[in-house]
Amino acid sequence: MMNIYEISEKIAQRPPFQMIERVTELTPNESAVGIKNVSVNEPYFTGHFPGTPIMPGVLIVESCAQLCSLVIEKPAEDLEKNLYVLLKIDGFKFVKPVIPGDQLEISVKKTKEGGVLVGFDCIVKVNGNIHAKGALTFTSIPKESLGK
Amino acid sequence: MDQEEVKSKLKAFFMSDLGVDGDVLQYDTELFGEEIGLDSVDSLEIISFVDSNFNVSMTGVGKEHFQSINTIAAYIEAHKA
Repeated sequence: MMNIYEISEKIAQRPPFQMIERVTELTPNESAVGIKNVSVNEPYFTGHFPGTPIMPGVLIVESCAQLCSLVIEKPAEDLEKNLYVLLKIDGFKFVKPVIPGDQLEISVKKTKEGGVLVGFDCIVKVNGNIHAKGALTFTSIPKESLGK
Repeated sequence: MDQEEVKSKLKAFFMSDLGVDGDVLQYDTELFGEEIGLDSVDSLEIISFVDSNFNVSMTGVGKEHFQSINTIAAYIEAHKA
């Protein structure tokens, strides 16, 4: 269980790009369940779409990715040198629209780890119904290689 | 696990995980050439698969070892514990 203060100690993203607000279950390097509350006040609803707010699918993917990043625990010296980034998005489906007032219950489970890759299956539910699902793969890149 | 099993497992992985057409993919087909067209992200997937299934690290290995299923299988054979 982690609240927003504890989450902020672990991830670098900040509002309006912080997409996990609570973690209700966490097994390091295995799985997690997290919550994102979707408010009508979120800035992207101004344009997506005027009068008919729907949460963009890419931001649902980002919510899943941020929860995955909380699952990946590495030694401090690894995280000092390397950045874990999203490498691949596979088979994502947006089964039902997400609208303001929905609470996303996101479950992620590690499916593979080898070489420099870590893969997860992700399921996003609202009121127990699946709204989105898919798989994400992350890799680590040396921070010193960024921008070169 | 003998070489044929390794190759068959690699081929199954290329088809199921990387979406390669099994009819086109032979053991000597060039993986990163025009026909199959794998890219650098796929090479990380191959490294990950070889690491977790054969316990052989191919991180930082020269690209000549990634040419075909045959060359990957040969590398696994030469470096397995």
